[in-house]
Amino acid sequence: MLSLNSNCNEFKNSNNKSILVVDDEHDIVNLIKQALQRNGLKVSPFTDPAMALEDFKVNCKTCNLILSDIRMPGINGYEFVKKAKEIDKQVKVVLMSAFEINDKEFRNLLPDIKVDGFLQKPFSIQQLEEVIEKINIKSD
Amino acid sequence: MGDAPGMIQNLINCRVDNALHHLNQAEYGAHLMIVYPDLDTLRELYSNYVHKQIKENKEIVLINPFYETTDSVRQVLSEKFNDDISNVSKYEKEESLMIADALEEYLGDQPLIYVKKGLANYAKVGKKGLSVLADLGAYSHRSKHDDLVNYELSLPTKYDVQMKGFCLYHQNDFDNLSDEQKEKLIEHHGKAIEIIRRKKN
Repeated sequence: MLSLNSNCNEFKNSNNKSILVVDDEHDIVNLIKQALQRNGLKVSPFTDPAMALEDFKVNCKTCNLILSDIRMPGINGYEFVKKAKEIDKQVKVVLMSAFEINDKEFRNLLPDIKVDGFLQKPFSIQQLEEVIEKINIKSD
Repeated sequence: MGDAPGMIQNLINCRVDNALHHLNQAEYGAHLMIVYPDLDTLRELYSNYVHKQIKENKEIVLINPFYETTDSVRQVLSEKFNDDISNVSKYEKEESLMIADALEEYLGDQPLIYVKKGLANYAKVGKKGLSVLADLGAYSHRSKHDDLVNYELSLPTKYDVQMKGFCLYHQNDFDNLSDEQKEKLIEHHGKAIEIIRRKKN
């Protein structure tokens, strides 16, 4: 359940590139972190989106994928993605939610911003892998 | 109960057990606001409160979560009740417990539908009244801070019905409000409580 297959090797070998994970649920961040790290990926885990954003400002050069929850206190996932894209518009983004994603809300809040994938919680590690694999994370 | 003076006047800073004491002591008509530091603290607060009210006090409890799903609330309660999920569903079926997403309840097509249902039904099902634990994070999520304040100010400081209203604010959402908005909210509620984050070992 927790193994990334060979298609992910490109990502694994992409020289210190890392994945920023932000979700206000500590357990979810930990599970994702463990699953990705077990496959040799570098993960920056956060439960506070404000802290995640501060980290991204400093480390955006080595981060090429953001996995973000949508309903988060303080800064929601849409705002987080918007701010992250202002810092680095090339960064890939996957949004996660345990709730139905409201299309109207999504289009209103992120009208011009490309989101590379969605994960509906609860998701399996295999589904996480599949979404990551679909993203061309080598392009900078 | 060991409360410490708050940074903002009239905001009671306390630990989660003291906050629970304030909730348990609240009488019908009470309209309180509670600022919580994280989801784990909120879960500890509502699971203890709901357990006591449902098992001992014979009242209807409505929970409107925002940062967790209704199924997550059921899971938390089943652990607290030492029951499986089906037993939590039993309380829902007999209408002593209602769990509904806060976004739908406050900003959906039929606002306050569960509050109205609880108030209409508590006597019919042999209960003394209704307790509402509502996370108002839905307003922050939609950046409707003015609407939030207007909504709160439209409610009475003390209800004249058999209802206790507990308005729940995540600390990060509360911090995003202006000082003026915070003061208005604190002053308007019968009591405003800020739960101190538990120190991690």
